Amino acid sequence: MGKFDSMVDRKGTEILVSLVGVIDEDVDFSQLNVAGAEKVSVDFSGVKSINSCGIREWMKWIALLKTAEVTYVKCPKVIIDQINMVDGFLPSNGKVESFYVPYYNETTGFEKNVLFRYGVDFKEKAVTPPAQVLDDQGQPMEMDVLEAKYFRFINK
Amino acid sequence: MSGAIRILIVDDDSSLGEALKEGLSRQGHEAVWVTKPEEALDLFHKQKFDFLLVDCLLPQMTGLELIEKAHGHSKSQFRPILMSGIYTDKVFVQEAIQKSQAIAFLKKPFDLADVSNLLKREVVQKADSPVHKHIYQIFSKEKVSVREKKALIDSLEDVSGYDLPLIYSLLCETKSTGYLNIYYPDGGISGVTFCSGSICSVDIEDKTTSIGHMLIQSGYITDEDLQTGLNDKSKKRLGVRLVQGNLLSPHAVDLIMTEQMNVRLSRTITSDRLRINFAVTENELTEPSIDSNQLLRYLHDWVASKIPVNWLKSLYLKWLGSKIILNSSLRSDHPAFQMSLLHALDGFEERLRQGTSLGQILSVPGYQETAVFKGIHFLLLRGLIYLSSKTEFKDEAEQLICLKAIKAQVNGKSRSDILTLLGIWEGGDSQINVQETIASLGPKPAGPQTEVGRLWTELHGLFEGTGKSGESAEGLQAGKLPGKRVSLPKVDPAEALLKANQYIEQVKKELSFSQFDKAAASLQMALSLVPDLFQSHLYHAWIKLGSLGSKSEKFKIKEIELDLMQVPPDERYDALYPFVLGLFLKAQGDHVGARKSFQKAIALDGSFLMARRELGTLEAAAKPQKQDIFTMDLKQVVSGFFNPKTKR
Repeated sequence: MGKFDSMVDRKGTEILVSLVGVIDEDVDFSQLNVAGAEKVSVDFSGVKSINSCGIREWMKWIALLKTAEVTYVKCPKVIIDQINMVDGFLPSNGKVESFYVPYYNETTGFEKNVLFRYGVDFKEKAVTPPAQVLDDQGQPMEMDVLEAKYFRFINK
Repeated sequence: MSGAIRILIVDDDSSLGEALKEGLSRQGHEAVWVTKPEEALDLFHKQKFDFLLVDCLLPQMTGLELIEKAHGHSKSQFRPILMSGIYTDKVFVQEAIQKSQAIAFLKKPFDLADVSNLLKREVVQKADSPVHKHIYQIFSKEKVSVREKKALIDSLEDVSGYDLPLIYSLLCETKSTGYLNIYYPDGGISGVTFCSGSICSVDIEDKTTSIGHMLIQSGYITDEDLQTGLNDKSKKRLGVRLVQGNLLSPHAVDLIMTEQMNVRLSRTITSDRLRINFAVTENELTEPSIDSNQLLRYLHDWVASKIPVNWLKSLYLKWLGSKIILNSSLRSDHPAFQMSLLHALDGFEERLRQGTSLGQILSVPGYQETAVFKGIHFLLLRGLIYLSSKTEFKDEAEQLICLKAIKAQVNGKSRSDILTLLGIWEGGDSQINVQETIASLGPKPAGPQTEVGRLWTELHGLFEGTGKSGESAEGLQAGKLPGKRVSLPKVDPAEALLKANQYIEQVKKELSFSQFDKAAASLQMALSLVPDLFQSHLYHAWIKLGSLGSKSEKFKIKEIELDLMQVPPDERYDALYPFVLGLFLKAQGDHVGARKSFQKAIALDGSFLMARRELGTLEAAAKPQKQDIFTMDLKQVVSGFFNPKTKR
């Protein structure tokens, strides 16, 4: 496997695209065949990083999905940062179904990503984080992001 | 600027007022419209506004009177914009702008786009003001841990393009690995890849750099070599073709690729407001790359050529009374001291070691303000020096020097210019900025009637008044500080650029006829239209070199050297740069260097007649003169009569 891989799982007019690895200048999204799709879900959980060339490539590809309903699932921080920063990274008709929020414990140094799901941990213009997130030793963890910055896409 | 702009519209013309309110609200601003001046004054009591859009002719009072009263009532610094469909003659407009310190005068009818462009321009200008940005607070810390630096980078989002050298430096110092993505207001994206603190690649939208010209300019190949490489029709990259043809060393390709990264990085350093995001990733180190040592040279280059001195003046105003303290590990043989900016300041390092303030350094005779601000900024970017967080004066004599330096920065400036310099257009932070600037004046001198006492009182009153927009601010308007800013809506940028380029053609023509005064005037005209015109520093240097007398004065040569330092990397790779450099070297008496530079200029542009002329003159001068009776000295003539003739 190279530094990037993708899979397309088609069920009728619904398509799940799974991306894994590094999205950079070498990625060719035109290989992803989503013709005729009415609903496209993109699973970003395997994405490690995305650079400026990768963002441009993604923007070109996602712009082609004008009519499809687009959903982003399991977005890691690198993707949420782009959604917050780049207009159109998430299409105007698109929706984030779930995303990861980094947590840490300063004493133990333990880090973990907690999945926030639509309807459970967040909805339009509101975030309801879990009451407590514990590390492997049962110690409480804190959110490792600037909330106003990280959750901006929810409040748009 | 984050958040909506707050605009108060005062116009009794309901159709216009309502349309403006609705149009501006739709653009995301907070627009309030009232028809009567009293309503406006009442609102100024209760709310803060960024802009006041006011008709000149209102019921009960004029728009100008309303502005004057509102300055006294307002909770914040607002910027007035005048509008009128009746009073539109040139004299009235100019007087009204001068009196009200309005940023513009809109003649009715106007388009909503005129207003939004004006607001956008003003907001960008305001955002450019770097004062009190927390990113630079690290300049007054002796030690900043890696963790603190990383946290600082994480916290950054909205920055100015001029902040990028510091951000690049911090990412290198913290040995960071990841992608720095840079987002522009127009939707453009650039990216810089870091690996263990080295810059491995730079991705910008405008990638045009001519490797061929860069190779010739750097002296690695001749124009004939380049032609040979270009004639090779293989699909390989030009560098590879040249290496395979034994025309270029592979090492030179790496050096040029690094220089290409420098050019691209320098293009990211602009006045644009940007958003940045650094994502930690697992990148592999690729070569060529820019490591920490090379970055030192490039930082120097960017500070010298890309960061405007006015921006630096604004940044350092509150630090003029601060002591400059050298980092304990900074040795005299540090390469930073060999960089041109610092080298141009005689005895600079010794002065720093003796303990001095920024204000004192600025007052050293022969030190150019531009070189001082840029030199200090360069050292601070690399953490080689830091500034004391408190103003400390040994005695009143030292305080006087610093106060004079501060006065020099505000002298002749209008109220709005001083507000910009202080970065206090708005309420909120304004008081902090004012207090910090006032603190930089030092303690109140014992004798109020002494020179230092009078100056302290004047500056104290000025800054305090500016912050409060109270009586002193009105005093400013009344002429305490001369100078005015007339900011009429700008001409179309494309049209301005076109006109400026026409002036530049004129400059070139005049320079070719050695009409240096005329060329200086034409260049001034061009710069009045487009202040950051391409290669303007080169034309400046050329004009100054042409105006030099037979004896090159040291001071002028230094001035020209500074002009050449300020030529950005991407303006160096055509024939003009080596040509002007050749003129500079010639003025310094380095004829060998000058010849090489003229040859490079000709290699880059074979039709560059002035370069050919200069080269011809130098080559003729270098040839041994054939001696005849008219060029010999008397001794040679006399001895010639008695020497036997040599046989041919």
